[in-house]
Amino acid sequence: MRKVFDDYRVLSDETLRPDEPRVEKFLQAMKKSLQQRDNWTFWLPYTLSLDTCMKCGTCAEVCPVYLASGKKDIYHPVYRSDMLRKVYKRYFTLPGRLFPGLVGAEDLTEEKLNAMAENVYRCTICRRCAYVCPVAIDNGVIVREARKIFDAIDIAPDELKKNGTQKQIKFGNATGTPANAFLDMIEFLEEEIEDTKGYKVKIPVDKEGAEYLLIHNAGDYLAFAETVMGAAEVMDAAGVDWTLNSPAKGVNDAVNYGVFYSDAEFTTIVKAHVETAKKLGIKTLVVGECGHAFEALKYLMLRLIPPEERPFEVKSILELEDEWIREGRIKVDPEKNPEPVTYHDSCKLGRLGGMYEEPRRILKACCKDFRELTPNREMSICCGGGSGFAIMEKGDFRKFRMETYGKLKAEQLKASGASIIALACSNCKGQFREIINYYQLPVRFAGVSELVANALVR
Amino acid sequence: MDFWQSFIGGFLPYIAVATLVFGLGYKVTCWLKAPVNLHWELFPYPHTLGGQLSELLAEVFTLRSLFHHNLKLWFPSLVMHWGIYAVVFWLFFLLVGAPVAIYLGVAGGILTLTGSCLLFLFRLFVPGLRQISTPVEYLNLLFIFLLALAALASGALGDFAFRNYFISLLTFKPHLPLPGSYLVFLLLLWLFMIYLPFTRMAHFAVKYFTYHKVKWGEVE
Amino acid sequence: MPAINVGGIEIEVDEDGFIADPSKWNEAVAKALAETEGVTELTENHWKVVNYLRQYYQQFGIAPMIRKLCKETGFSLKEIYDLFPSGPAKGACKIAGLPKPTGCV
Repeated sequence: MRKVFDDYRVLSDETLRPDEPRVEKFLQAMKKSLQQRDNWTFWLPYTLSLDTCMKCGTCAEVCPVYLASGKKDIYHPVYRSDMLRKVYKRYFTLPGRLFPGLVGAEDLTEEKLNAMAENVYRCTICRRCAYVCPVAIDNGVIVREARKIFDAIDIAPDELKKNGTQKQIKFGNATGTPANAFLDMIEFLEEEIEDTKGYKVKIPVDKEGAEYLLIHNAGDYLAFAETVMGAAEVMDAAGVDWTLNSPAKGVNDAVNYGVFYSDAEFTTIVKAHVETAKKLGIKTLVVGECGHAFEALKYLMLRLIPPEERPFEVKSILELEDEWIREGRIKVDPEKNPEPVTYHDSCKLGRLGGMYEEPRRILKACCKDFRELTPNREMSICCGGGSGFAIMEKGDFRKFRMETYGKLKAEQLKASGASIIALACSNCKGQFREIINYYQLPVRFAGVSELVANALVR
Repeated sequence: MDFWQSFIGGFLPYIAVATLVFGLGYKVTCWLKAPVNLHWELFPYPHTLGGQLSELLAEVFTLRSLFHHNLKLWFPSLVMHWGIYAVVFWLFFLLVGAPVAIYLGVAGGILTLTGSCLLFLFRLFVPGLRQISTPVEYLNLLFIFLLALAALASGALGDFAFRNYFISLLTFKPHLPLPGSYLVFLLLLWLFMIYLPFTRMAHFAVKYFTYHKVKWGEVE
Repeated sequence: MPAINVGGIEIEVDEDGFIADPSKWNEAVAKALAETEGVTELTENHWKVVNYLRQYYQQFGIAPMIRKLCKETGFSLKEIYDLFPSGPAKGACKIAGLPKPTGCV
């Protein structure tokens, strides 16, 4: 795949079609994106961010990609936003039509379109930039709107669309796990829990009318089974009425990749989640350890689906674990996790989700030696796995993730002296798995539920 | 001479004020009527009116974000913004008839002149800033610089009697003629007021929306 | 579509190097895919993993859980990475001729 922007390629030639004319269709789709009626979901932050950036560069001072790349101009957050903004000014504003040179308006060419299509998949939309901007301009929302425009002209990474949202609607999960395989996995996990912990835990599946429906990121069963096991042990220890669900009973995958690139796909999946929860007649939908799934179901869904159409609460498994530890519903002994543990604030759980203290209370109760990464909480540095990046491997993209975001996280991790990094998001787990390997760090990662389960006193 | 006196001294001021008020008013109305966006808050954020007010004031008067994350720009930007605030207070106290106005006016003019000059030079010589700048950013700063220069050079900012001209505008009987240098200052001032609503210098109004409708959520 | 050469025959692979048509897999194809993964020799241990993956995939239509793969083959995850540098999902599954695992794995 030839170079169209930098040394990496997220989009295959089949998807990007770099030698075909797409500018006109892009502009048509962009025009629609600027209309309130057609694109109401983020119209206000989108248009204000396009119009009112003061070009002060404060965002760049905190952007992980820009800083770790050695302040390469192509990774400057304003440079990226300007790729869309210059087109916006040229075709959709009066000064841009009359005095393009003055206001930095530029014609869109096929080459610039190729470069933009790639650059919008270098930013994870961690919104660290938006947090520090004096005018609260949001480069992240501009990136997402650009991705939506590209999706409207059929340019989206297949990891997110063809093998992501579309697969999830077809199979009930993005991994393509059929019901019999899922039940085999559950049986295996029950055996594993008995083998490793010495007690039997029954994992309910497809129980109707349960109080809690726990939906994990389906990838966790395959790649991060310890999180799933840990969660099951915790639910069991708490003695609550809970269930998992299989793909036979709707969507059993918490993910919603539409959060990353498409309102249309996002809406389809949210509706499928809501249908699944309603059909099973559950009271609380519990989101497993997945960052964007929490954002989608706890926040983004609220103004998309009217309350009467979603008759259930949404909680993160972290919120439940925190509650149950504090009220003594589950008992934990921190001596059972003696190694030094640190915690990475996932962007979607922290800056975008507001959950800073819940995981900390949990980890301090369950681990003997808890340490902070520096910086943390709202200034946490994105690990680079988000936006689905953790599952994008084409065009040497892993190297990009490791050399930019990954480099900063490796330094933080080393400085903390921890030997375990607790993570509550699948994309973060995937990314840290690679970071630890790439930088040969003497660290392992663990799900928060995994650590809680280790500490359980039964 | 007569034409310029009546044009700049007697006609443009009303055009300028009307454009500023209705221009900003129109934009603000559009934003107020915008569809409520999906939840897109950034945590933590202040939940009480008092909390929001104190963060707003801290940002407006100390440029806190720049101080914490972009220190090199903080001082020149603070100088320019304090200069602008002082000039705004100059106009208010001048209309009200308080003599402190002229001290605010002159100080404001000097600060604005210095601040805008420093920001212009930063933008020209700091590579990271220059790379992301377009001509209009330089133009805006130049405009502010020239306005401050004209204001100071004319002596208008330190002239308490200038008050009479502004009061006369309110009664629609402009007190003319004015000294030539005052007309230069006023011309730039009216043009600035006409220009402002259509540029990003209206960011003071935009901030209400980006903070109170998006980043800090909207009270349901 | 890109392709790899297996003893003079062109076998199509996707952009991630996974076999486009799993039915075309055989031991020779496995060896060719292994070369693309930097695995120059497929030892008995490699085949143990590959065979388990194929057997599970044929039964369930999906790659097995990594934890189960480790348990059934008796290898630790580290040992799997030693055998297949890209790991169980991107390395071993590729050589075993499974389609590329999708979702957050």
